[in-house]
Amino acid sequence: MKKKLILFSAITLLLQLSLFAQQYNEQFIDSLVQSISQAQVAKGTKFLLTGYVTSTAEFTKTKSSLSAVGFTPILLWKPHDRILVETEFETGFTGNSTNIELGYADVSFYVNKYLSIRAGKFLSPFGIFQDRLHPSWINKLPTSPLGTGEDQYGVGPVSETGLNFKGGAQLGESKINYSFYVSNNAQLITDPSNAIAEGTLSYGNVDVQSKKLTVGGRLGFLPFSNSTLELGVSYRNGYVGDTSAAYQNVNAKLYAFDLSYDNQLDFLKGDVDIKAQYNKSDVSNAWYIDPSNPTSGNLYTYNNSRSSYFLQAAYTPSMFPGKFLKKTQLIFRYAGFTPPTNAIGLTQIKQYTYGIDYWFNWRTALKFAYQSQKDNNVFFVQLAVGF
Amino acid sequence: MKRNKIIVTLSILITIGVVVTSCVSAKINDKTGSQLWTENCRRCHNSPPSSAFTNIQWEVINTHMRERGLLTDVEYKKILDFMQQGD
Repeated sequence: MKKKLILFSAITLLLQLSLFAQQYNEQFIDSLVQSISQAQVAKGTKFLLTGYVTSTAEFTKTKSSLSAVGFTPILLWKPHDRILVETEFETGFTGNSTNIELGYADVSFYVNKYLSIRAGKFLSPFGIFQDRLHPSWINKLPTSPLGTGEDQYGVGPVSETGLNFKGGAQLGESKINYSFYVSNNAQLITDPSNAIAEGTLSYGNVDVQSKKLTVGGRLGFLPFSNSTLELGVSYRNGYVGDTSAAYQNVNAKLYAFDLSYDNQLDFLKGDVDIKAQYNKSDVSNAWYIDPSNPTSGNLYTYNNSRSSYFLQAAYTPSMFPGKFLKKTQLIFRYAGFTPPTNAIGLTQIKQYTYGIDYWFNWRTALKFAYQSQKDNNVFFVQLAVGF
Repeated sequence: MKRNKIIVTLSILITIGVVVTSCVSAKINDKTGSQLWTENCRRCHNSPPSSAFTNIQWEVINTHMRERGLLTDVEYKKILDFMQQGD
């Protein structure tokens, strides 16, 4: 009897403990899951992961490469009706190593209908290519036009770090838009070991190089009520030298003019898309170490004025019968770079790119392009997917 | 000289502001969200269908596109309404 009582008590206790444990576990897990999920996706949070993926193959007479894969996630968060946070990471391979770069990271505050203020690192509103057309699922060709990147041929900024004031408004039947900014100065590259880049500018620096900040902006005008044509003018002015006596007064003035036209034309039975941009950079007088003999310490100077341009035309036979034709696009781009006179190691370049795209849907394209640039002719195949 | 530059700059900005706020055309106001969606998206890229994203996602994307394309306030609101109707 005693044994039975002890056994019954033990079972009852175990049951109570297990029930308590179960209840505790469920409550604990519920609360844990709830707290974690609430922390990750708070009620009403407007968060979106978007971006694009690119896979590119290159073929020349002497080499072939299938390795260029790029993944560019864009994180968008709208924590308030008047606030937008946006960040773009550009990831890819350089040789055997993974390369991650911050494309932009900024916060925008909408002051009123006509003005928003953006702070952080943002794509430079210098012309239209970097700000609007550079993502691979938007760019109709596998490559960027000559002169729009931040390489030895680059004329103009890719990104800025600073404050940006922007907006758009109706103007009668037309529209205008503006994007002005105050940003950190660009940096003049004077390292003779990097001869080909000497005299070019590096942008988006976090470190301020002098007491005065750079100012710039773009003004856009859309004369027609259907927004088919946009004309833009951009300007940027600031010091570019370091704080040393030799370079502290070196200044750079940059200009750009851009054109964008997109319309469906009945007489061509299709869509025509034209984009064009002209960039000009004038760096004031500075002395550079002769890159052909850097150890000698010989200095030389030149008129550091350079320019680049591109004109791109695309045609889609959207009014022809048949799905295949409607999804096919023909593209031609002419681009050029004019270096400073007497600069060592740089020559004038003209680039011709012929492309044909097939669009599986609105954000997925298979691109074929042949690019001819002096002695450097390359055939590209690229798959670009926006998500 | 510096003061003159500031005065001229302020005058230009104020003039632009006055002209902009007083010359609001009924043209854009009369357009549907569908029209504005077609006209503005295609300036840079193919127009996505409304089924591509949810209502909340469209709100975030449209705000992002307002930044990129520098859309007017009316365009932003009408395009957003149109895209969210399809969800």
